[in-house]
Amino acid sequence: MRPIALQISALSKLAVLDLYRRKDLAVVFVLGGVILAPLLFFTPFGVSTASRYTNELALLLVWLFSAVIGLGVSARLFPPEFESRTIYPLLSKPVSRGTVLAGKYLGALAASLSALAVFYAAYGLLAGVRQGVWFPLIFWQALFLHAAFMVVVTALSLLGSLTLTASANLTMCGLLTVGMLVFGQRLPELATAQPVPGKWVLYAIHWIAPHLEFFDLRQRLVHEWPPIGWGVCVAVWLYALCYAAACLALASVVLRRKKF
Amino acid sequence: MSRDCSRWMFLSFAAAVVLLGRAIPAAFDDGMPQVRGEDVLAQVLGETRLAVSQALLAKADEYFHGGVRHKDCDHGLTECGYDEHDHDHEHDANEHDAHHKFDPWCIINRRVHVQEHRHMKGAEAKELLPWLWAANRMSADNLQSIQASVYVLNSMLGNPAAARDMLQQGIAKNPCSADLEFVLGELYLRSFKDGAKAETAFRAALEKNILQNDEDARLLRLRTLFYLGYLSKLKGDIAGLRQHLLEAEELSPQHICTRDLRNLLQQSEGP
Repeated sequence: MRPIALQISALSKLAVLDLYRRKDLAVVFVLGGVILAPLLFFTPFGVSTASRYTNELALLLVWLFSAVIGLGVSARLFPPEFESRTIYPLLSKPVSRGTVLAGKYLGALAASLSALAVFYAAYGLLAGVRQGVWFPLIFWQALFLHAAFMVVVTALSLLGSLTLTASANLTMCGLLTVGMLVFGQRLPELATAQPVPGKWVLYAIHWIAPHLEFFDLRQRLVHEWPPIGWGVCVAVWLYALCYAAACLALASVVLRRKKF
Repeated sequence: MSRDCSRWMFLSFAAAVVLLGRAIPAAFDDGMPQVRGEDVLAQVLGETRLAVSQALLAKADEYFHGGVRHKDCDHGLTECGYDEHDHDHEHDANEHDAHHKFDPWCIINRRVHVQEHRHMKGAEAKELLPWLWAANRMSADNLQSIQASVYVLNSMLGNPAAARDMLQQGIAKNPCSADLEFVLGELYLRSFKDGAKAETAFRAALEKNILQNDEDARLLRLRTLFYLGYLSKLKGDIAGLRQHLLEAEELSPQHICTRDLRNLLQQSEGP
C-alpha cells in the first residue's frame, strides 16, 4: 500500500511543478490585473463606492482562468508522455496503469486547486478592501463548490486526453464547460420548447452532461444573498465526486486497452 | 550604391504614403468611402451601439433584482412603472417545482441559484450606476436608459442635480424627444419645486409631442396637459387651466388626466 502511495505522490508532484514551471499562473494574474486595475478607479456619475461590478468581473475572471488552468493542466499530462515515449520507462518502473492515472489526476487536481486558492485569496482581499467585508460565509461556500467544479473538470479533461487529440480535447471540454455554465440550468425549459427529436437530445444532455452550473455561486456572492444550506453543498460535492469517479473509471478502461 | 538607392527609395515611398494619407481626406472630405464617426465607439460599433446599450440596461435591471433576471417582473428599470411594491412571484416557482418535481438536477439548481424576487432600495442603488453610465455612454439614442438613470439618481439616491445634468445632456443629444422634456419638467416640479422651469420643460414637451401621433404620444400629451393645468392653477390662471382641459377633452374625455383636470377646475371655481 505504502509504495503505491509514494508512487502517486511522486507523480502528483510532477504535475504541480509543471504548472509553476510554466508560469501560467503568473500570466493569468498579470492579465487579470490589467483588466481590473482601470475599473478600480472608475467613478460613474462621480460616485466611487460601487463595487459589485468589479466583484462580478473579478469572479468571472477567476472562473475563466481556473477553467483554463484546470483543463490545460490535465489535458497535457498524457499526450507528451505518449509523443516522447516516456510512458514506457514510467510503466516499467513498475508502476501500474491505474497508479499512473491516479497520480496524474491527483497532481492535476492539486495544481488546479492551488491556483484556485491563490485566485480566491486575491478576490477576498479585493472585495474586503473595497467593501469592508472580509471573507463571509458565502465566500467559503463559493470556494468549496468551485473546488468541486475543478474535481469534475480535471477528470473530464483527463478522460478526453486519452481519447482525443490535445486540441480536440481542449475544444470539446471548453465548449462543454461554457455551454453547461450558460445553459445547464435552462436545459429542461429548452427541451420542453423543442419538437420531438431535439427534445429527447436535450433531455439526454440534461441527464448525462456534467451540471457545472451547480458549482457556480457567483450570483449569491456578488449580490450578497444568504448562504445555501450545507446539506446542498454536500449533495453537490457528492455529485462532483461521483461524476469524476465515473470519468476516471472510463479513463482507466481506455488506458488499460491503449496500445502504445 | 544599390543599398543607398534602396534606402532612399524606401524613405521617399514612406514620405509619399504619409503625405497622401494626410492629403486625400483633406481634399475629398465628403467623397470618402467611410463617414467619420463622432468617436471611437461610433466608428467601431456603428448602429449596434443601441443593441449593446440595451443589453447594458438589461444588466442594470438584473442588478436591480439582486442579480436575477426576471422576465415576468414589469416593475424593473427597463419598464416605466418604477413603483415600489410587494408583489408575489412565488406562483411561477411553484409551477416550476410541480413541473420538475422528480428531477434531482432541477431541485439542486433551485437550491443553489437564487429564486427569490427582491428589488434594490436606497443607497444600494449606487451599484446600478456603472451599468447605467455604460449604457448611456454606449448610445445616446437609448432614451429608456437615460430615464432609468434619472430615476436612480433622483428617486433612489436623492441626487436631483446629477439627474438634471444627465437629462440635459440627453436632451442636447436627442433634441426631438418629448419624453425627456416631460421627465425634466417632472424633475423640476417634484424635486426642485421650480414651477417656472417645469412649465418651460412641459411646454417644450408639448411642442415636440405634436410631431408624433401614436398612442404613447397621445398619453404623454394628456399627462403634459395635466401638469400644465396644475401649474396654471398654482399661478391662479383659470383661463389657462380651462384651455388645457379643453385640449385634454379633445384627446380623451374619460382619461384620468382629463378627469383630474376637471376636478382641478371645479376646485378653482369653487362650489
